[in-house]
Formats: sequence, structure tokens, C-alpha cells
Amino acid sequence: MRAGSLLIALLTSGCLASIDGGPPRLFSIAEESAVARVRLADGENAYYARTAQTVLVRNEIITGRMRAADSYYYEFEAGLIRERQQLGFLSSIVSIGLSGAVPLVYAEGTKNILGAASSGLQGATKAFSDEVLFQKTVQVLATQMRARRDAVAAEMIKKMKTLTLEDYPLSMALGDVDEYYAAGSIAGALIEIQKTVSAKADDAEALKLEAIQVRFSAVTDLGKRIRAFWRSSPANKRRAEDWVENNTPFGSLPIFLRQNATPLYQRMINELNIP
Amino acid sequence: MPKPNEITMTDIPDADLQELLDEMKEEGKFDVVSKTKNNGTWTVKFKRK
Repeated sequence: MRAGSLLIALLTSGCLASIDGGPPRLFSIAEESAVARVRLADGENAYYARTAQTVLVRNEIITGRMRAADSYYYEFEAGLIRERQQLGFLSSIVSIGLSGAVPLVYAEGTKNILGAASSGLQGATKAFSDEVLFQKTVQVLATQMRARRDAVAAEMIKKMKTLTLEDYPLSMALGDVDEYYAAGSIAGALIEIQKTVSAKADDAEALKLEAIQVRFSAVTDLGKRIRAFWRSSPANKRRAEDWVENNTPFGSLPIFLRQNATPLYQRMINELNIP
Repeated sequence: MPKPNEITMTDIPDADLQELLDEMKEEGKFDVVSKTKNNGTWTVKFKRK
């Protein structure tokens, strides 16, 4: 435990540059934000006073706000990654479980957010059950946030370049800025992940749960040729069944053979070279 | 293509029922859930294994 205490002291004192992870900034985020706030307030006042209501001013206000969101986002993201690294480093050395290591992380708020995020992704019973899960959770969230921010930014840039003030007024653009901000939040990432997972689950469910009702029809001569091919060898059996699965809604060759589906039978015979 | 999880086939004549059931067994993808006879023909419900 002495080694663990030493590492904790090193980390909390900020002596490990590789874990701090990045070059210093010329201006702190607080300094840049203060300047941006004044400029944006002046710009927006002029815009709404109609003394400077142009596309150029609108775009400058929007990009100024995006730039401010970027500054905060990158610091937030760096904090997530840094805490992930510190956590992994510490827990592997001092051989403590993740639940024990979490209180060592600096930011209490972030720790709580990550706890909630991990629970949201994996279910409450598995949350923080191991370090790998925690690290993967952070990685997935960071990737999702970046992807969503890029998508929202691309859409906004397109609108700024192509739409007039009438079509894309500043108020509407500020709504998009809010979306851009939300895309870089844990909550936004979780919602996007949930949407993706839900869509895939719905697709899978729709494919799996399909129930059909069909009427019997006697097997035709074409159907008998297909059946003979189906029974001729294990390889042909598999080919025929795969073809029916992939090209018909019946899901079963014996059912398919009792549908009098002449055009489909002919197509199958041609495609599989059935004698 | 959607893959049915359940298939219900209606109007199966007596003479054709056993052959269908044998082929479904040979294919090995679906189990018989129920068989009912109405007005002289069979209705069979299959469920994917």
C-alpha cells in the first residue's frame, strides 16, 4: 500500500506529465471565454439592433459560440481520458477494485457522471464491476460525442454557407448551437447510443418476429424439380434452403414448394442451375 | 428478406399433411406448434427452432 500512496501523491500533485496529457494553452479557457463573451454580446446586440444584420455577422456569432463550446468540450474530454488513465494506472498497481479506486479520481462530479453513464450502458448491476468496463465506457462515450459533434457542426456549416438570414435567422442558428453543445455531453452521447441500439434492436426484432399465414397449394412439377435438387446432396440442400431464406418471405423450403410461386421457382432453377 | 418466426399453413388436405410434416422435419428449421382440422382440411402452425 505504500507504493499506492506514493502514486496517489504523485498524481494529485500533478507531477506526472504523461498522465496530465497535453501541452499548456497560450490563453486559459477562462481568459478566452471572458473575451468571447464580451465580443459575442456586442455582436448580438448589433445584430438585433439591425445595425449589423448580415450573413457575415450571423456566421461570426455562430462560429464564435462554437469555438467557445469547443474550448470547454476539449477540456472536458481531456478530463475524462485523464481520469480514465489515472484510474487504470492506479488500480493496476495498488491492486484494488474499481469501486475502491473511484474515490481516488479528482473530480467528484465527473466520477458521478461516469458512474451514471456506465450504469446506463451496462445496467445497474454491472456498473463499475471491473476496470475494463469502465475504460470501455469512457472510450465509447468520447467516440460518440466526437462523432455527433462533427455531424452537427457539418450541418451548421452547410446552413451558414448556403442559407440567407430569412431562411436561417440567428435565433434558429443559436438553437443549433445548443444542439452542438448537447452533442458534447454525456447525456447527449447516451441518447445517441440508445437511439442506435434501439434502432438495431427494432430491426432485429422485426426480422425475427415476423409471423406469416399461407394457404396450401399442391407441389407443381417445377416444385418437384427443386425438391429433387434439395434432396440430392447436403451441399445442394444448404444452397436451396439459403436461396429460399434470402429470396423469399417464406423462410422454409417445404412451405415455399407449396405456394405455386412459378416465377420464383423458375428464377431459383436458373440461378442454382437446377436440372 | 424478413425471416418468419412463425408460419401458419391452412387448407392442407389429409393426403398431403404427412408429406409436409416429414419435409419440415427433414429441413429441421421449424417445430410443429399445433395441428387442427377444420372442414376436412388441416391448419398447422410452425415455430422457428
